Amino acid sequence: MTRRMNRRQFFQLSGLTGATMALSGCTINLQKYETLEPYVVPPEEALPGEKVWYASTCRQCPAGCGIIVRISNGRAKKIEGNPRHPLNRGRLCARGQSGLHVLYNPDRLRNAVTQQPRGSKTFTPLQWEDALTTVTERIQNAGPGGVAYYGRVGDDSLAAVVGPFIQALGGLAPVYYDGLSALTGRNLLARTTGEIYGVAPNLPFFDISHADVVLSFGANFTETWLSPVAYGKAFGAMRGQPNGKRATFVQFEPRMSSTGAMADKWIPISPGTEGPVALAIGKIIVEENINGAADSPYAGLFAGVDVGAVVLAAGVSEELLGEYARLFGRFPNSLALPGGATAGSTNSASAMQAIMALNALIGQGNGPNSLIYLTPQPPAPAFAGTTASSYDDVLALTDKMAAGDISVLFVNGNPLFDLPVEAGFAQALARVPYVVSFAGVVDETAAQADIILPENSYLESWGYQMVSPSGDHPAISGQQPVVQPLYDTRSTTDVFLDLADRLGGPAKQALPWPNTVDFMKATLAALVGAPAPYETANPAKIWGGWRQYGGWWDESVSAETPASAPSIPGPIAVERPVFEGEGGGYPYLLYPYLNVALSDGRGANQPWLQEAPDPMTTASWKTWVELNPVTAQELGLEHGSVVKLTSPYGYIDAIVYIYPAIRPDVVAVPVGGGHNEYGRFAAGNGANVLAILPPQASGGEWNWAGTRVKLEPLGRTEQLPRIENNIGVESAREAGHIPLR
Amino acid sequence: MITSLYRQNPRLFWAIAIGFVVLFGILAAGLFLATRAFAMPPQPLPYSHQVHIAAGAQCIYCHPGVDSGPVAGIPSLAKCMGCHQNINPQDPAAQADIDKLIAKWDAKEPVQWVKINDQPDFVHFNHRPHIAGGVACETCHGDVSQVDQPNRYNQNMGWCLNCHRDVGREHPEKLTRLLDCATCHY
Repeated sequence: MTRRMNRRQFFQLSGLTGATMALSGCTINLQKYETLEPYVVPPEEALPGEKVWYASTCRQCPAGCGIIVRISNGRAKKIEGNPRHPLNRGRLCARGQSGLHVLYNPDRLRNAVTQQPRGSKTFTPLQWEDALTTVTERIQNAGPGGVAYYGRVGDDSLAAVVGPFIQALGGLAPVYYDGLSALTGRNLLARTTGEIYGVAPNLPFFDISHADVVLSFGANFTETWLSPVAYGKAFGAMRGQPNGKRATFVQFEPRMSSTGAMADKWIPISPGTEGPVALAIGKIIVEENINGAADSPYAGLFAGVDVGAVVLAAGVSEELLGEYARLFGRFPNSLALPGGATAGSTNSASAMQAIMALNALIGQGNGPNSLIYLTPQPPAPAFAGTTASSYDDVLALTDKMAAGDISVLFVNGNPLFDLPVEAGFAQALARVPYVVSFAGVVDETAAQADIILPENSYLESWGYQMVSPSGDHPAISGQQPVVQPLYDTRSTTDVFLDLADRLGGPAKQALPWPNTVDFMKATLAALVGAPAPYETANPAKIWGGWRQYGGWWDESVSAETPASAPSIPGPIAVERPVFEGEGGGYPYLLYPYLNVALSDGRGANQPWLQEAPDPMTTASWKTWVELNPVTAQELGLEHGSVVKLTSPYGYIDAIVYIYPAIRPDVVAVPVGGGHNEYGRFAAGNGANVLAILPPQASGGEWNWAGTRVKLEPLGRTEQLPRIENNIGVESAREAGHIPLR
Repeated sequence: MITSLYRQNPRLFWAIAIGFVVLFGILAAGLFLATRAFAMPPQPLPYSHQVHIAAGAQCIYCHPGVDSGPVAGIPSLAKCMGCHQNINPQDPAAQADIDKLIAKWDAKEPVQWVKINDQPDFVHFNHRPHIAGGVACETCHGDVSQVDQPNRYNQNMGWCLNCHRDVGREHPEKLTRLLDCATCHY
């Protein structure tokens, strides 16, 4: 029998059930609470706060490595290599790591300033509005052709704005030049490669990672040459090839660099004989017909070479040269690298050709198996990369300035430090009525400017960089602000866009964008549909992917080998290098080299880089001169003796470091020290060897390696800060460069 | 009146009477549940903010993350013991409480503190900008120096915005950011 429930009973029962459920539900929820479990003993490196990584681009040299920056609560804390970036694949050099010192440098200018009179270092703060109005008036009064720009190599987004700006005003083409590009032979290599392949100037990448034999003519590719991080990675791959193959690597240079120290053989040739030695190696290969080289279309280039004379001039043994010539000729995957030192002598043009001819002789630089790659054309014309100007361009600008043709000069580099005193840039600058500097920290040139519009550091601004020489794939590195600007500084790109807006007319037509972000977005729109690691269907997706990945690259395409065979005019003459001061009581050849940390001196205001020991001498902070023990004994000098180093163009004081891995007839001095300005860490530290170099040019290039010097002991000693004596920071502190504790 | 209602209509009287009883029951239950909801379960150790602040400890000494990150942080046992291995209170009851802490330390067993204030997952609260902007701890947590355990406040969105609007009135250039949804909800 079933008892039917009536309406009342149903409500009673359901009410009771509901109430019970609600009550029990409440009770369970009430008992639920979260607990916090702190450490019993916290780990040493536990830091509070949220960490975010932003992808951007390093601007410490023109290579364009991808970086990621750790941001903790709006502060940049650490810079590392971008693991996805095809150029450096997560690696980064010491200069890249030190980028935080560019951002946090205590000597940064915090607002726009005027300086009256020039050189007085009496700076008056200025509102940006007033500053830009003043500069606009100066440009308007300058007249056609009266405006010029001098900047460092390697800021392609800025160049894409400055170029049209100056062109619209009818000025001289912008000059891009600095000590680093000069001493790495950047312009000469790009120009020579362009000429022999019949293309625009192009920086080639030498893929040493798959090489059998590498002959490097002064290319210190793991330190400062062109793209050191990419080459460092390739060098590691070269030493770890399949089946235990590790390649043979020979370094020809008068002073052993740390790259030379990693070579299987270091051959100390006389400075300036890189070209002749390359020709002699080619001649031996042709004469002995190794791998049918005598039939090569390039065999004729080596016809006029007298191996015996070259051997004598370079100071190497003929047997040694023959041994490596045969090795080089026998293996098709051999490479000859034209290093920076090649570009500094009077015979630089023929030397560069000789080394490229040596590659061509064994079939490199042509065909699918070539290990020489050209930097690919940009994916859109909007991304035109910049090429370094030649030294002749600098001299042409200097002449115009000295003649009073330039009324307004924009300076975005440090020519008064980078160029030799005898080049006359300082005197020419004095003739320019209005000098505008963009220096973030007052350097030698900014100290002679009328107005300084301090730029944002590269961690605070937008931009892009065509990767040149490219690594394995075509790439554009993207730069984005990773933190809010610390001070009232502005991106130089923004300044030029603002000036174009105020000037109106052709300048505004050439640069219609109101700010850098709009300019970047307009440029990036050209990438729609291009293959990329992210979606490129429309500009918004590109803008997102670009910032997330830190640029654009196409991993479906490998770098291109040259399409045509190189065409080299010949035969190439063996040119004896000529040195200033020959036969005039200057017994030693001067070999200036780029300091791996300070490069051409632009890193000197970063204390991490000042303190970083030179890899071969372990020295830091000061400027030293490296002498062979034999030379030192002849002159009666010891470690720490202070000498006066005199060239026909001036003198510097330097501390002697006795270095066995240098030719006795050569003295080597690192570049980068000896600033008069440029902040507390740089000013007054060491001596600037660039200042006493000869001002002459040959073939359009600066003969920076072309002088002889004499040494005079000053009869006193000074301790060189080194790891071993542990006086690095202490000496800097005593000298007042860093505050006392 | 009540008696007349009872006499005239006993059914209505009983209905009203039962209605009142039920209403009171519901109110009593609601009150009971409300107190349970805002009452905190007991903490695993008898810790008193009042005692520690009276002894001179600053907020930021034990909660050092407050000016550098989203959360203020709870001190590690090592930090507690940094002081407590040297402190011997005269009061045996207080010593008994400290002994519980020492027992945890000896066992190297972390303390499971009960969280008092919490924000839902769709709110990104960060202490740092508030401290950097000069907001005192007491503004949101009350006068902790007078209580053992800070009270749980009803930190809802209107409460946040009240303050954000006040600051925005003083600094109009910050108003947009202070009232932007994405400032906290992203």
